[in-house]
Amino acid sequence: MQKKKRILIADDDAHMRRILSLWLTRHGYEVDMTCDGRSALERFRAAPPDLLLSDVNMPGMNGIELLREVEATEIHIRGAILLTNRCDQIELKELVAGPNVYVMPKPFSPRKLLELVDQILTSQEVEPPVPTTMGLESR
Amino acid sequence: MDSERRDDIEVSTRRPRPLCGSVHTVPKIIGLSCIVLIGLGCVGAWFAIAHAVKHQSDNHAVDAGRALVTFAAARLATIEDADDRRIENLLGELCRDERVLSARRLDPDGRVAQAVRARAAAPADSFVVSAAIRGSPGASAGTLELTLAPARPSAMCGHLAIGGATFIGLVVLACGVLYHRLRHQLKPALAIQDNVRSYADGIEKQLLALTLSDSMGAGARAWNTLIHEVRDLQEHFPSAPGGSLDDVLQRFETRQLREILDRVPVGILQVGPDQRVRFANGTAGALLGRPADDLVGAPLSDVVHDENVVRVLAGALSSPTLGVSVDRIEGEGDRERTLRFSVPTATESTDETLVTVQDVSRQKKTEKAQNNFLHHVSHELRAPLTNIRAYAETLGQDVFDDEQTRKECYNAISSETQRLSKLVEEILGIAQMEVGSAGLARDDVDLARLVRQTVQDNQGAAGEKSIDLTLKIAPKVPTLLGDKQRLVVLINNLVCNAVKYTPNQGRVDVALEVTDRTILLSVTDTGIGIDAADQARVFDKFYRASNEAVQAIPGSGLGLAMAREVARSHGGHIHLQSEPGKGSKFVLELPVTVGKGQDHHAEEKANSDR
Repeated sequence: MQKKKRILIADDDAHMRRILSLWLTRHGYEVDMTCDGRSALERFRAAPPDLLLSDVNMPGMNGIELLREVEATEIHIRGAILLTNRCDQIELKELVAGPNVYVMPKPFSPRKLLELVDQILTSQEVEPPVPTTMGLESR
Repeated sequence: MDSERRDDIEVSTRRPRPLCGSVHTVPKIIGLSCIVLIGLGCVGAWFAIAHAVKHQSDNHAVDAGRALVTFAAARLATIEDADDRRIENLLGELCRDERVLSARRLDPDGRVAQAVRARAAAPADSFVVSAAIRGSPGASAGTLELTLAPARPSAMCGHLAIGGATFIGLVVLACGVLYHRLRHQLKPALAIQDNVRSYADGIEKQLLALTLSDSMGAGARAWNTLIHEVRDLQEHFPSAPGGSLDDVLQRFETRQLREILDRVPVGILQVGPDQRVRFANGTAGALLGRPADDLVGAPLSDVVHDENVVRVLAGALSSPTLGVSVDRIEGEGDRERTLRFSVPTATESTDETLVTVQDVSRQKKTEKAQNNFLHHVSHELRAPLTNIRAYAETLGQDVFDDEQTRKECYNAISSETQRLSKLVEEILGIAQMEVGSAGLARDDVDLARLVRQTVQDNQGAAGEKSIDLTLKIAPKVPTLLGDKQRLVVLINNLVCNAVKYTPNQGRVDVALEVTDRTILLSVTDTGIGIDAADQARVFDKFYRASNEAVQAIPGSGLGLAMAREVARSHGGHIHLQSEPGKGSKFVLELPVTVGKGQDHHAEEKANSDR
């Protein structure tokens, strides 16, 4: 059997961490959780995951800074998803532009997120998904 | 007035020809006639008096003559035998009287018996009196005839003549002087009247030709000053020299309008079809950093210094029926400002177009703050909303159909809903506060009671963390006039925050003190404290210190912002003293307002409310 894919979650909101881990573990992923950017980076260096799932707005080091640091380590990962509750997603996408970086606007459907994670981690050629709409309408 | 100006007057002083002679000669004739009439009256009166006096003295002389002749006749009658020598002696005696010119005795036949002459010739107005001599028989008889000199004018008559003449002389002199003075006084007035008429009729165009000689007195000098002031006004507008009084007034009005335009807080530029500035008001000059006079004549590109703005404005100028507005940002940091150039929509196309310039920096700042607020609000609302949605969706999934997960989801949704509703409440509250004090209630507030209640409400939370929450209230705290609901929020936010950010086994001291004019509420804790860098910003909306200790504690970052707004709306403020790791002290200072007991209006209001 294939080794479980590891996902590193960085989010300061405990409820969010809990629900993400609930969904991902239930669907066969191994989940590592941290509550801010700095500890996430430490964990990333110690045990590089297959996928980084990070909130943008975090105290200390935010999601964007974390992503930059991760890129600087030159450790290959399959992809990164940024969760944002900011309105200016278009600006954000330009800021973190990369072939395997995705932006998921809040509030989002956990099912959609799971689909995206599956897509990144299972397929060899990943089609960059376009988050359909911002805000509540994204189903 | 300087000497040069004085020369001007001398040179240009020339009397204008009177336009209408009768206007001046009529009063002159009337004046002179009055003097003549008064003189004639005086002379006539003198003659009448003199005549009356003379007549009286004549009568007097006749009576005296008659008495004299009767007396002499009686004496003649006493001369016996008609002794001619004695008669002649008597006549001679009579002639010695100065009034008697000659004396003669006529015998009963009418022939001259004796005659004595005192003086050579009798004057024409001499008169004769006679009396019959009736003596005893044998004595001389006949008639005594005396020629008397006319009555001499008396001394009184002489005095009267001198007095009368002097009086008449004085009256005529006084009238003459009066006439002369009046003429002198009226001269400038009449001259001014002439000048104004000739200027109004356009006969005289040069203002300076209308000046009068200074020797004509104060009136003339005042007129000259006026003429020079008007001339100075004319010189302010060299484009149209001279001109009628209407022109001068019109230009005066233009100058006033300019002054008004200079005071308008909007920069105004009038731009011609050649894109050069034709007019600029003072505000435009101040905003563009050049004196308004310098701007006039300058091309628009020199004035605006921004190609993009010039292009947009030029487009609007070529088709002025389309209004346009373009911003130029200049300066950096604190000195950054935004100038907004607008071409107002013109109803009809004209050669000249108006461009307004406004400093919209403050407006921009407000807009930015509002956008920030909205951004934060949506951001803050999304966090609990995301969780609620995620947990709700989880509940609908068959994969998570176990009891434990369901329970967890319910709990999460419940707590996040609470968080959301609290947030909404706080946002609404702060928005309401920011609208101003309009919606502020004005109740009598017993602050001591509110503080006691709030501390009690927080005892539970303090107890959970074994925090010693104490309260000290000064005696006789005056009643405040304010919004009870909002003050409760304020006090609660301060106390609740202190408990929240104080670690277990710490202490929070609440004290209410009263000074002359203020009520001080201090909340002192032994909590985590606030960094100096954050102290200035903790009252900002949604601001939360970025250190981990603070982030570990849930909060919206609205509590203190709200507290500050409430304090401000009550005329008070909040100070903060804090040392990281040791604790913080928040002091709320509220001015003592007059409660209902003392406040007449409040009492009235209360009565009318009933």
